[in-house]
Amino acid sequence: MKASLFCTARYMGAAPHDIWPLSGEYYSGDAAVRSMQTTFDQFRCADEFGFDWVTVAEHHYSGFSLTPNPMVMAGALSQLVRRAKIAVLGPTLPILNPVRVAEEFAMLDTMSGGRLVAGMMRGTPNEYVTYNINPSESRERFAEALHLIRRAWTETRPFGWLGRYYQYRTISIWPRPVQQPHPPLYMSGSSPEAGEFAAKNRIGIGFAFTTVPLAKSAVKHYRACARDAGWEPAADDVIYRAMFHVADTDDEAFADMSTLPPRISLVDQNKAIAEGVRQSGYYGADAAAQQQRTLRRELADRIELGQVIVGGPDTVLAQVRHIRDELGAGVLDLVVGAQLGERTLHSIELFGTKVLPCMREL
Amino acid sequence: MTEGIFAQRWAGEDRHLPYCEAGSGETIVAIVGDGGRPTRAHALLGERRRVIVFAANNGSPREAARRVGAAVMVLGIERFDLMGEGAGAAAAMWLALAPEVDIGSVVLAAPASVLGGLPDDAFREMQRPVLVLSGTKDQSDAGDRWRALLPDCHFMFVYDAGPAIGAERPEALAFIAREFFERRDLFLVSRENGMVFP
Repeated sequence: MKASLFCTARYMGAAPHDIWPLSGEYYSGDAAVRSMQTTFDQFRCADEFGFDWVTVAEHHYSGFSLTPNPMVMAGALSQLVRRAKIAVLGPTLPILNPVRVAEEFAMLDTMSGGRLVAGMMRGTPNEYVTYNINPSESRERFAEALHLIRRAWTETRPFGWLGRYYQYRTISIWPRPVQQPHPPLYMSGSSPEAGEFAAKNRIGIGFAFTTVPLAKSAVKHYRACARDAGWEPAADDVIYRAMFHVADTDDEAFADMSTLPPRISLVDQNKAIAEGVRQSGYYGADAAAQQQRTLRRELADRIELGQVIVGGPDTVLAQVRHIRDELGAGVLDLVVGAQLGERTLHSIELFGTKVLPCMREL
Repeated sequence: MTEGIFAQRWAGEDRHLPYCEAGSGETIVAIVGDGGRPTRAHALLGERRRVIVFAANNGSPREAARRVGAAVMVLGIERFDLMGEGAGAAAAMWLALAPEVDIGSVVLAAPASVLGGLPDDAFREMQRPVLVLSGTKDQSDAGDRWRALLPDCHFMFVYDAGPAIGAERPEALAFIAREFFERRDLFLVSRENGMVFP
């Protein structure tokens, strides 16, 4: 089993964590620079201590993440992180220019010497407000953009595109991906529609901020759809994301995590947006299950459900083993749980030196 | 609805060649596969142009091109743009190669696989602007083969369409055909208005 470190580049200045969009009145340039440097330190640490991947993602208008364009962060990481793969999980595809996404991913694959992992995400629903895109179009836009990006990567002669949502008279990207035919692809597998689409198109799936029981059901559906499509996903085709914090002892780790504020999903930070998104039909067939993912929960419940991995190395390894046994996931995407300076770096080191070697055997 | 827009007529030698016609203005001649009928794409083109649809009946594409060319002359059409669709594409290309006809530009929509000994070299010398459209759901390699035959052509994928682009994505086909016929190679540069509010 592989491990990835996901830093959202959380803003470290004083600002509310439950408002979207967050006003720029709270912003301090010094705090933002410090946040970026901290993020770089954590990624370097993960690379040093054996993490297989480092992960970045796209979020807008929030202190939760200072990477509205994760490609920019990934470009920096391609030079800072010398060994680990660079996983962009990912751009919010339906709100972006897909040719630009294809170009930027190809640049990253080239800059990193073929270490790119390309996530194609529908994103958190609030992001549709960011660039004024109707969330009811998200699935169709996603599907078309993904097909277009694959063509842009693999067609060697110029071509035009006459889509439903995108139109280009001629496309011929430079640079092109180093990995052939293209970098490994992942998308969210949380909903039944997404799992079916991923299986039909031979794409790996990832789960973010869900629960192990919900993910287990979704993985089962994905694997069944893949069998129907004539292939068998490997363990590495399933990524599970959870928050983590490791300390020398369980008591220390739990004490550190007790400082963590309850997680409120970005869309739930704005009631009007949450309701507008719900009315748009964004959530699809399993809307109720999707809303289960983002319920506010106490830390103990989040640990029980596999949303948070916390403890000393042995405890954490047991939690990792449980996730692996339940899901058959091959990649664990670990979100920095608590920004505690040196103790966070120590957490990454402990995971890399005490947990990761045992994970390899799972 | 499309059926009601088009009138069926007869032309050609001995008036034995059926065709369907709609609209007025500069002419578009479309050659569709054997037994083919006008699609909604033709109807949309007919809103601004005169559209004449011939079916490439049994026989070789070259013979079909000759018969359509003769029919067009009988109809008194001196200059036209040309569409070839499916199995009608090869006939359209033969017609486009004829020196005596005055054709502006050519759109090939989901051209069928190249059969019947088409002359590669002659196609490579095609001087008229050609746009080849291929559906992303089209499982054949016809699009690639036509692109290889016409190295100077423009090539576009039509998303979510198979071999029947005119029926599956009529608005898209009509839009891009109109653009190409009006502007030829210059269609590469968008003239769409991007302003949201003045």
